[in-house]
Amino acid sequence: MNAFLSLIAAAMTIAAALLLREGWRARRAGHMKRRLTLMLSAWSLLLLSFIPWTFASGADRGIAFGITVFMLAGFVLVLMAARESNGSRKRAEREPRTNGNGNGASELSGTRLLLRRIYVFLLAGPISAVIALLVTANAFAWWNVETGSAANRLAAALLIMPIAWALLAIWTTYDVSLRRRSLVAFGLAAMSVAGIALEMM
Amino acid sequence: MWSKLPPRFVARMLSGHTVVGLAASALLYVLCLSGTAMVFHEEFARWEQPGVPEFSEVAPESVSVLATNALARVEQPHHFDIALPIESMPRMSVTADEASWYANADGELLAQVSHPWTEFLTKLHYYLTLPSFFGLTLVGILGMLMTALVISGVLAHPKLFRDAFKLRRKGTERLRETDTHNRLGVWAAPFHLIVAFTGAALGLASLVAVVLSPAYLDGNIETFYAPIFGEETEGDKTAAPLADIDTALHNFDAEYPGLVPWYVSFHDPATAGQSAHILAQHPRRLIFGDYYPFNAEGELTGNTGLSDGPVGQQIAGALYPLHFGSFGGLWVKFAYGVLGILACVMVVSGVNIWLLKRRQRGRAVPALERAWAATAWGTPAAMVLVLLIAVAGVAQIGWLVGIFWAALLLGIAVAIILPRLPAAFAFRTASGVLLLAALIVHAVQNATVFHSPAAWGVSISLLLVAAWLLRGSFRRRQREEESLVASRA
Repeated sequence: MNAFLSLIAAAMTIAAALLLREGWRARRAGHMKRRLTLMLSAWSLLLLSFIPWTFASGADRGIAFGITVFMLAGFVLVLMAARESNGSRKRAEREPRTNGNGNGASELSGTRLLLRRIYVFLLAGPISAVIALLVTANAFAWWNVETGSAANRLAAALLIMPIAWALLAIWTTYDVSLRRRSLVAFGLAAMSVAGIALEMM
Repeated sequence: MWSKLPPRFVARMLSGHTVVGLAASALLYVLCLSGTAMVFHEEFARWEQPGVPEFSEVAPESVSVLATNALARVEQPHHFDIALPIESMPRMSVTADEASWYANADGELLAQVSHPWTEFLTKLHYYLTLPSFFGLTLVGILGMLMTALVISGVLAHPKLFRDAFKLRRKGTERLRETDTHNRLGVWAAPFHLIVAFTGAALGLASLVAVVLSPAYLDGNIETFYAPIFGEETEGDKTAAPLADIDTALHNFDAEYPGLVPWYVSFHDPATAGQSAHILAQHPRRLIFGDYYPFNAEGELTGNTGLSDGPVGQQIAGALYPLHFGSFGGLWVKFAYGVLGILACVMVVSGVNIWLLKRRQRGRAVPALERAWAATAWGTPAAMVLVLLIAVAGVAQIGWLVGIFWAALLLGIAVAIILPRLPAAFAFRTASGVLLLAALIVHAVQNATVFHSPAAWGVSISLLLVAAWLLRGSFRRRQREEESLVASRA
């Protein structure tokens, strides 16, 4: 029964990927109405496929199976697209994009450029790490273990730290002025410190 | 919606994506490659000792016999674990602190557990071969950077859906690399995000513990993880009979018929203050398992709650299987293997795009291009060299670590110093040749004891990889020579 359900689920997931590709083809051919129908069918089928996946393999595990099969199906379809592409419609290559005023820092040179890079490294690395830890400590400190459980508090802390650091790394390397990046980062740090201090009072 | 992202936002995000990608590239590549191999760590362990008896079930009485036999061999251990046969590792083994042995189905001790290659892989992927806390934290940081790369990569990609099925293998080199990077990036994004984020959470957990426990748990790091994984208590060390494994396993089978006992573990075994538990797999769940403590008489006293506790506890229990693809048998491992290779391709193509853009702008860095080619193909070559040495049994783990880094750095240095050396060809060929050599040495050494089905599977798979490496290498060489002849003509 489980194997049969798994097969049905896999077939639905693969069919969803195929429908997505047909929708993509319809868009390229200019059939926008057909594209919409196909896209909606594809996403609906993908969502529906989680039902047999769940029955066949359990809720969390079944969804993980479904997503894995969907990725593999998409990958195979992309490989097939590579075989089909004959390169006859070679697109003129765009000139590489030049950056604005930030990470490219094309207007800087020598020591100033080096210092700037060191600062960006410090901001995205150790400084962001400290800020992410402060944010995590805040969540940990304010978490009510009576109503929210100690296990949930610990799990939240373990998950908040990497996601906060990753988002900070994105922001601190986002190509806007360094002053703006620093302001937001240090502002968040100040708010976190204030939050911890408040909780301790 | 995606296609309406403002071009300025996309350009800025792309700039950040490039900075983070370049900063993480080399070590991230080593992690992705070693992680792809690590998915098959159980199969590699079985391959390294193919003669160890394999069986799917064991009688609880035999587990008791094994415990008695093992405890007779060692001085009072602090930690004592018996690994029971499961589907992915159908062998029984026992570990008393640092010493480990395999056992047969009757509980008799056999050969010592010895899989230096798997041990090296673990050390490389978990710690980048650094001391444990620093290594784990560095790996966590790389996981965090990969998380940032996946998010910024998706945000920097306004044609996410428009180009979802477009992969051009002809055209300019940059176009090909960009298509490869973007298309694989989109389709494998959920995998990359999950693997990166779970890796970051696992790797940075120690750092979180070190920082938070002094502030909120009176500095007691030991109890930091207790709300999720339970607590080890230090008890009375006076000698006492070992807790009754036999009864505990019988009770477990009766009470939880759908679960699969995986480990029987003791803290201070055979003492008055011993604590013991059964770690059991839940076949329909993502979690790695749940702990079921039992007392000296073998009576079960509940479970830790990884399977049915608060949602955070269950999520924490799923991090490891999600990271290593150990939640669905061999087909999920193969899927993770394929997706892991895609992650490696993503890292390599990302740096290639940057190098090609520089070249187009007239700011080429040939030395860096050669160094990167040497990193991309030198890493597998260095890993396979370690495999050969490990299989030949001529070096211990410490040496293997030294050999890996020395070979990789030497390869990069040679590629930088010798501009005429076709680094990709040389290292790819070396990988293929060394892999073949490792397989031959392994086959010769284990010719009479090649019993494990996994050993056959690994050998055949590695043979196919060697053939692919050599074939691709020579085809590429052939193409390069043909284009050279054409350009001269």
